[in-house]
Parts: sequence; C-alpha cells; structure tokens
Amino acid sequence: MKLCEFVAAEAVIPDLQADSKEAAIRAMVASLAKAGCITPQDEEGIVSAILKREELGSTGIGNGVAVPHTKHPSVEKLIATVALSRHGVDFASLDGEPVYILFLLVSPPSRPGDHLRALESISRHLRNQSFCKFLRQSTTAAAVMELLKEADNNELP
Amino acid sequence: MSWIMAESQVYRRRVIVKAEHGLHIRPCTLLAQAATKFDSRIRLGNGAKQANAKSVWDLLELAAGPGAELDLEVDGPDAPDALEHLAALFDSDFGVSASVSTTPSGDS
Repeated sequence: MKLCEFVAAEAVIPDLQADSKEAAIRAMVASLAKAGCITPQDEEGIVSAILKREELGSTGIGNGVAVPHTKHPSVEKLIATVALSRHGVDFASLDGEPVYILFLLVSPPSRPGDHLRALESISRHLRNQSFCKFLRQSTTAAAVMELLKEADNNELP
Repeated sequence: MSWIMAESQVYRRRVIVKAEHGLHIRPCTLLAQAATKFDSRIRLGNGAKQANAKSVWDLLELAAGPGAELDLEVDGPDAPDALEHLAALFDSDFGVSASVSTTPSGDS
C-alpha cells in the first residue's frame, strides 16, 4: 500500500506545537476534521478512541516514531495524517525517547487488512534513515507529500 | 549474544495468528518485548518474509493477517524456554482479545 494513498495532504502538520501525547493526538484529529476527512461531530469520539488505545500500550514504537490509531465506523476508507515535531513529544515510547514523527491512522472496522498493510508500509519506509532524516527536515506539507511520493516510488537512497 | 551457532539446536514450531485484526502494533509490541527477555536468536517467518522477533519494526513488516500460519524458529542457550513462552503467547492471543472486547472502537 502506498503512503500517498492514505495520507491526506491537507491534514499534514509540518510543525506540530503540541508538547504532550494528548495534545498531539487532538491536534492531528482536528487537522483531519479541518481537511474534511472526518466530520467535526466525530472528532471527540475519535480522539477518545485513540487515547483509549494508547492506554493499552504506547504506539511510540521507537526511533522517534509513533503511530497512534483507531478503528472508527465513521470512515469509509483508511485515512491518515502526518505530524512533525521539532522538539519531540513524550509518548511513553518503547525506547523511552521522545517522538518527532507521528502517523495517525483512522480505519474502518470492516477493513482490518488495510490497517495491517498501512502499518507494514509505514514501518518499511520509516526504517529507512534517509526517509526519516528528510522527513524531519521537511517544513511544509507539500514537502512532506513530495517525500512520501518519492518513498512510494522507491526513489530515496 | 552468548550462543555459539555451531553448538545450538534450532527449535521450530508453527504458530497461528488468532488476533482478529492480525499482527498489528499491540501484538507485535508484546511479542518483541517478550522475545527480548531471551538470549536466543528468535525468528518469525511468514512465507518468504522473515522477521527478527525482537524488533517491532521487523514484525510489523510481516503484515500477518488473522489466521496466518507463521514459523517460529529459535536457537540459543534458552531456546526451549523461549519457544514455549512465545508459542504460548500466540495460543493465548497475546491476552489481547479480552482488552479489545472492552474497547470496541479503540482496537488493537
């Protein structure tokens, strides 16, 4: 699955200001709502579901990356947004380090396969140090999307 | 790592992903955390894809869906214990089912 297929360009946050896990998740879900990917009525429910999921165990999977997510019946297809934090967010990550790159996913309960394929794609690309480095250097949503496209096309070193 | 490859026996077992949503972040995290406690080398295979079971990143790349049959392969000083412990995790569905059922929209 290609990153550009599920990351909503209009919802990318190139300079996330949040300094806590909850604030980061709220800002990212709000960005999805602002971009029209979810309705404002569903915003709070999605935030709550994601926070509840984090209580089961952090999605900060190390290397400065977190993948907060939930399934929610209000979406018809998998949607995601990316946020970049310059100062890092304390996400209670597995390796105890702050996170700088966040991928937030909302997927329909009926399509668990898509969720797995998106995780596989995110994981595969984020292991590439060049991808992570260039991503953290991106300062605009357009630059982020351009980089995701390059990653999708295997154009990165 | 303290094992000596030439002297160690490889232990293998076929395990099945019971998790309703497959091997997503939570089971991968629990599996990697459990595997890391052992000194043995622990691999998990999904067809041609191979993962170091101590790495969440590796495990996520298996993209193993519900019902997938995986090959657990362990070699090293504590291999029999590791094999039993990890196979039991698969058998118990990582204890995930109980948690998920209390959070219908919070998933995985």
